[in-house]
Amino acid sequence: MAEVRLNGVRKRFGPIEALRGIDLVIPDGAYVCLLGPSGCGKTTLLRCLAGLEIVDAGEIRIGSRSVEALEPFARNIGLAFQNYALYPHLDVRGNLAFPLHAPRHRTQFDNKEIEQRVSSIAALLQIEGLLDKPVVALSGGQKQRVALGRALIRNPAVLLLDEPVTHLDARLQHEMRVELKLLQRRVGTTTIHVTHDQLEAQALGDLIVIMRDGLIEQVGAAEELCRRPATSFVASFVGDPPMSVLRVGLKREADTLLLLVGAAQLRPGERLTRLLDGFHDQNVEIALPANDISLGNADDEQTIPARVQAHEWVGRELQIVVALDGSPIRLRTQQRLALRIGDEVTIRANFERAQAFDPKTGRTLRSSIV
Amino acid sequence: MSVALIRNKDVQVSATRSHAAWPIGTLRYLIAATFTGFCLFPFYVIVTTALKAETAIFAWPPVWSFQPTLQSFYNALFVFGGRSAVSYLINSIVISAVSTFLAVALGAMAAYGFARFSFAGKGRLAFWILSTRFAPPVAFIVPIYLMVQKVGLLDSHIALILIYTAMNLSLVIWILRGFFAEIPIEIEEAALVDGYSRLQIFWRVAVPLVRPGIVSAAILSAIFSWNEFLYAMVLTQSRAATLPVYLAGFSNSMGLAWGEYMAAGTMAVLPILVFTFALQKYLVRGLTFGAVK
Amino acid sequence: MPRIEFKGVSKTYPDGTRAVADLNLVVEDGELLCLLGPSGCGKSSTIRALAGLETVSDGVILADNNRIDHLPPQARDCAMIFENYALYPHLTAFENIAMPLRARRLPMPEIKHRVTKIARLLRIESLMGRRPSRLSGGEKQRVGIGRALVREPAMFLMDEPLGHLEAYLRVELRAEIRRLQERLGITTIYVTHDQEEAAAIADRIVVMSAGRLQQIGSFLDLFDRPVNRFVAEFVGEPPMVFLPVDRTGVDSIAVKGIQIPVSEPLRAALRATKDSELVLGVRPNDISLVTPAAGHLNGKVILVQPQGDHAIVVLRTPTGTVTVIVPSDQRPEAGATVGLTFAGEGLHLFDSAAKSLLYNREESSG
Repeated sequence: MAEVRLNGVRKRFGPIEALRGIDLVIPDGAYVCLLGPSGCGKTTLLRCLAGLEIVDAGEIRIGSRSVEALEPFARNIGLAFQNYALYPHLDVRGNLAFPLHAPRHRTQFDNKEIEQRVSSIAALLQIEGLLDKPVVALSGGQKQRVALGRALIRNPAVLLLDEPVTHLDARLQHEMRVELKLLQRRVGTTTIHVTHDQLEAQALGDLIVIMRDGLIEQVGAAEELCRRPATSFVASFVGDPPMSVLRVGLKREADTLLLLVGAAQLRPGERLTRLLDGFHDQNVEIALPANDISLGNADDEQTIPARVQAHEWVGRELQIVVALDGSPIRLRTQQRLALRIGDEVTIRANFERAQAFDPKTGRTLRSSIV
Repeated sequence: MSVALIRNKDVQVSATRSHAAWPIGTLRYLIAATFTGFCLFPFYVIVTTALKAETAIFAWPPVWSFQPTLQSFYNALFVFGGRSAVSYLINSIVISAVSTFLAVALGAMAAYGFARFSFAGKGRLAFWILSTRFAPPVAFIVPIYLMVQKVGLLDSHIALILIYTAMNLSLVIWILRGFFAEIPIEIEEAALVDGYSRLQIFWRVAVPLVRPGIVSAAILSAIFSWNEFLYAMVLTQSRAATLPVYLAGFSNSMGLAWGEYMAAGTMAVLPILVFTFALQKYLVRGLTFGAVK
Repeated sequence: MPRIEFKGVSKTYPDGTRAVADLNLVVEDGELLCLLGPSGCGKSSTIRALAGLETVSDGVILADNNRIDHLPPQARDCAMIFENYALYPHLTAFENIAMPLRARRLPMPEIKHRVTKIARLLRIESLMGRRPSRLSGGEKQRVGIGRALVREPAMFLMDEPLGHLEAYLRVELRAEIRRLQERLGITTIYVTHDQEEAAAIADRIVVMSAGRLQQIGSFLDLFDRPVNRFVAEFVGEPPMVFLPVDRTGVDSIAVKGIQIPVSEPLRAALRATKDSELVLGVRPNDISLVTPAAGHLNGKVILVQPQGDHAIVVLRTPTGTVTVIVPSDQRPEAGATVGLTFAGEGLHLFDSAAKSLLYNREESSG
């Protein structure tokens, strides 16, 4: 296990800048998730850590060593690929032992030790019964375990996982989330796990690194990202459901501040007014937790008319998405309603825990206390 | 009426059941059998003639059942015209085997290079290699003869081996390049992470995965080298002459010894048949498919 | 927009595999019905039989009371999309969508009009000039959907169309599919193995297992009133927790010696059966964490997974591993020992035949 540090890492592919300056510290023994939409650079970053890509600039340290110029095998890392990348011409035992048979490592491992390591890794991943099977005959979940075993067999300092559960069935994905976390606890290896699924990142990551367009948006534990997002992107990306981000107009009349939301004019409440104190833009981005949005009646105060854009069941709750000036607003209700897309509803917003962001930079206006 | 979208392999024919199934099926079978018979008939004639006694060979109408004898084979192998078939057989085996081995070994490495690496002029080089097959071999016979003669390699095994290797290389490269390109790159990246050098990855990961391609390429190269007549005829005399040359020597002023001729022909076909059948089980997929799903 | 009915439909493959067994199902006119189940449950075979890609071994399929199971696929007026979009790579998106109309030799202005209309509906107008190689996965699937819908078919069949897309794309596209279906009102059947997806888009869900229909109903019907253990376990994530119970009386049960309070309907159901091999089923949402002595069962927290405003807690108990969902601010520390209580409402009991004691009705076409 080792601490991982990245300083000013940049990587470009032709005209595309995949990584535009990454600074990151990953504590020894931590389970860190790299999270972001497709194209954000998370997979590129993982590959740069592995040595499958060489960075254009910057430094990567694993433990006390600078590794950014080293080949993959010299970095002491283990990598589990998205599509498992097992050797089809070998059986499970052959796949697990393959790293130990590499000519470069020939002096390190004698046959007895290889046998021992294969057995203990197979026991750890509960695949002892599969050792003599050809890998082409395995199910997706079994292949993934073999891929993990192969990555761990040399006791690497860092374990890299490239979307390890993406191609598994829904239920198996949830089961593997528990298994991966427990496994990492047992072996203690610093683990970096790439995913586009923010619920997966929340479930597994001691720390979550949210990336976008080649940069890190925010680093923090799940709770921090949900409660105190640093940017409107993070606010809209993380959470169950994620916060709804609205672009609202600001109207200052004498001493009062009004929010122009859709066709409605709303009072922001004391806390939000204080947050927006000194902000003189015409527009601001407000993020609202789903719990603070509810269905109301048209004659209530502080309501906004909106149209139903989608509706789906999440457990016993009905999740409704309405469109407001093109932004999706998500709310959940226990009511059993029969809704159709295009129906008009009235929603109420509570601004007690709202977050405010500068619409030009996306950054939070002030570190808000929830 | 609308057209439903259907996957190719799932077209259900049962919905339109034809009532005239029986005659059509039998007709198809008869046509296929006739055509197959037509193709195989020459082989039948060769083998049976080789096994007939001299009198039976020239009998008219032809004899269908006869007492087989190995006299022709014996003659062809050890007695006939001072030239026994054994040395020709050995030459053919040596030249074909070595040229096939070289073509596949060198071709595999070249194909891997084309599949995995990018370098300046790659596309042109690949096309040039393919272009060597455009012209008929007879176009180059004169310059090649002169070159071989100048170097003093006429009637030597080396000359034919080198020429056959060069001729087979383009086909081997073209076949194997497709197979190597089909291997998911992640598998090789995994091997890099596991500590293998690129050359080790080539031998231990890539080559085992393209086995059907290698077998196909080897079979085709072996067949070509074994059957090649023109260059063998021109460039060899006695020491390095191959079986096709030997067979050609049967039609000379002394008349045609049919029995021995057919026996020699049978013996010429046999080794390559055995070779192909032996390797057949490694041809898991045909030439158009890749090695790894 | 027909009402589709399966009457006693069975499908046995030549090698003997019984893919569908005695299926009785009604799909209402204009509804979006999901066929939900694990691989091999018969859902794909059912939808393919409806499309005409498979023949029916037994039974009939009716559309508006007309038999269609003997018709070839072309005559059934249904469109089907698959997981691999199967777009023509050498044609632009516009030409791909126009293909079915060209095949029917419609005049060009009409084709243009219909393709543009569909493209607008799917919000892919700006992509019409592109070839599939320049489209993302989600965009390609939209073009596939467009090609299927442009002929305005009577039935729309989808076999796991979103399987290989990224999570947030799946969420986006399934909302699109729902929106389209509501707008066009085409009878739609959607096959999936993902119960979350089924919950998101279906009017009703058919749960299948081993070729047989297990239960049909709205998501809440299946979630709150499963008729057997299979449905109870398959629908809902995290899955229902099952604990073996002992009968301590004619209408009472206990887990590891601790009496569990049950609702009156459950007591009545207990009185009605003599079965002693009972299993208690309870959803993670219906288990609460309390101090160790105050619960029905004790457990040690082995893992806490934050999920926004709630958390998934995995506990080891004397009866095995139990998963509980708690609000975020109530989540325990890993390693802590806590008590678990089971709410009186929301408990399920399953007998030795894995049938629910409470909700075991013979459902036909629900």
